[in-house]
Amino acid sequence: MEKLYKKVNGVRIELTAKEVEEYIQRQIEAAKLAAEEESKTE
Amino acid sequence: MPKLSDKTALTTLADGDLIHTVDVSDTTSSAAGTSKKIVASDVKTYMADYELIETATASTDTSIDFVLPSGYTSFQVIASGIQTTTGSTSLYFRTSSDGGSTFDSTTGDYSYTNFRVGTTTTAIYESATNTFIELTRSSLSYRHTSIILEITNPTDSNYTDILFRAKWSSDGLESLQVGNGSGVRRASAAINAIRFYPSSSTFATGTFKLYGIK
Repeated sequence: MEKLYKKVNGVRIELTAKEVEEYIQRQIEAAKLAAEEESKTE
Repeated sequence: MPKLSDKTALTTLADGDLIHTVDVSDTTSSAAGTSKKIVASDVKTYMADYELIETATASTDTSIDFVLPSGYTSFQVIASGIQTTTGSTSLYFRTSSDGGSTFDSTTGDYSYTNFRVGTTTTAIYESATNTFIELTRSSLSYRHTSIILEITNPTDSNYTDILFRAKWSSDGLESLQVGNGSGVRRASAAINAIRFYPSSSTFATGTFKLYGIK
């Protein structure tokens, strides 16, 4: 997996393992929401 | 020594110009104080009620965070040209009370309401108990976004108020939305860091400017 970064006061910082985990969880939740939205419009 | 009124007048100041001042706390020369010099840039800092604190330019970042310095009664963030790496992405906001080590993310940490008008839809979105404040919502490929967000009482021991307005539009710019909203951090604690992040993907572009108001 590519390295992930956040920006704090303009300085680029690599995410910690915990932050990467949170980021991945966010992607999963967003994908679920998108699937729900899509099923509503079908 | 010539009188002040006899000296050549200046109509503008450069940052390095010197100004004559009297330091009343230093009684070395007399009980009234001691004559000293100060550079114009320091006077500007002293006088400024509204000043740029920090600029962050997004480039494949999962979030844009700012640590809020002390000495300000309010903060404003003006963010423009925001695009995420992929579409269908909303923009969220969180606060921190420990200088950005952790961001408040428990259900019930935030309440918000957001009135949105679009070229094809109009809606009111609200949440009484959420894990974030939703600034924009995109179920299509809306991702060209600008936001102005204000925090009016960051050090208040009561709930922190957050006011925002946003514009976002689709990739082809054929569809446009504008949102006007408010939110609160539902805790009796001062906040000292803030975070902007997309619901998925990363920020591809965008400039975030943090201003402080004294």
